[in-house]
Amino acid sequence: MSNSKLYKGSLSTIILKLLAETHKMYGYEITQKVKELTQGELQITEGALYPALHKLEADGFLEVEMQRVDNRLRKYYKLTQAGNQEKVSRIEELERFIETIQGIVNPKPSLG
Amino acid sequence: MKQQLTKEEIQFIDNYLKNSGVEYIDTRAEVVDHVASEIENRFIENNTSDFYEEFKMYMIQHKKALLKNIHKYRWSLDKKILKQVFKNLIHQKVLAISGLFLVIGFTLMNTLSFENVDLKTTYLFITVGILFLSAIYPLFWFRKQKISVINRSAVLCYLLNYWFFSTIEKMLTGHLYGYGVFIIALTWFNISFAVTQVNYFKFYKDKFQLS
Repeated sequence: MSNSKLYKGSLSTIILKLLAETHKMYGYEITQKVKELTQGELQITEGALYPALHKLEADGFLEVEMQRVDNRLRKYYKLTQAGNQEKVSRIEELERFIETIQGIVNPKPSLG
Repeated sequence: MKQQLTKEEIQFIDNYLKNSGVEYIDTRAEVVDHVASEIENRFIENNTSDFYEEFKMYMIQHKKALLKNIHKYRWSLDKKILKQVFKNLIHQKVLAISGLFLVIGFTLMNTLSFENVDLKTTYLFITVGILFLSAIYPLFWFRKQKISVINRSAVLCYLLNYWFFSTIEKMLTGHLYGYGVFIIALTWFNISFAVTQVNYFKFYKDKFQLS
């Protein structure tokens, strides 16, 4: 990821979330989707994306499917059942994290 | 305006990456697709069809990031293979073949005297035979186009056997039953490695259209 170290820890969660919404995706497609959703704010580099995908695959959260497309082989990633469960817990974790940080950055004024 | 790369252009990217040290075709295929997709996207965005210019520009900007983590892939790969091998340990086929070896082993022990049959040598021979089939044969088949998962699986299988023969085997010499248990365990793992390799072999042979 080119923008910030803050995003680094969330890369796997982003991948799991995108794959949960789309049946299957290939590496380049993921980078483009993230770029589109964040209006170019977040750009995932190849050096960060593929190790994350391979790790998720090794952990059993993703499975791969290969297809011949436009004169070349394309590797698609899909969520496994374990990946679906992992996505739910990681999203919850991320939401709690955002809430906590929000509480620090923008504390609600107390009535007392 | 062309939007898709030709076979020759795809081959050019593949050769470039191969010469840059991305030696396994399965790893390379994913990177080739990434680079090709980006160049095709640039054709549209920049309203051009100059493949070599776009390729050169892409590599100047991204080559370092692209190749940086290729070799870090190994541990993920080993983990994936070992998970599959452990999973296959309880596969019906593996259990059936291992059971067969067990029955043969016990039959040999009960029916033949140790003076006539060197049980240890027989089992060692069988184990080494399985190791040979699982580790060497797929490597031979894919000798021209290296496949990461096949190569690493063979290396892991070799390491397991090397570790056994260099340490455990010496420790258990003279302890017949302990030795028997370890030989059975090793045979079981080797059969699981062999089944795992055969499955990878079938998958990649089909996908990469290798003969």
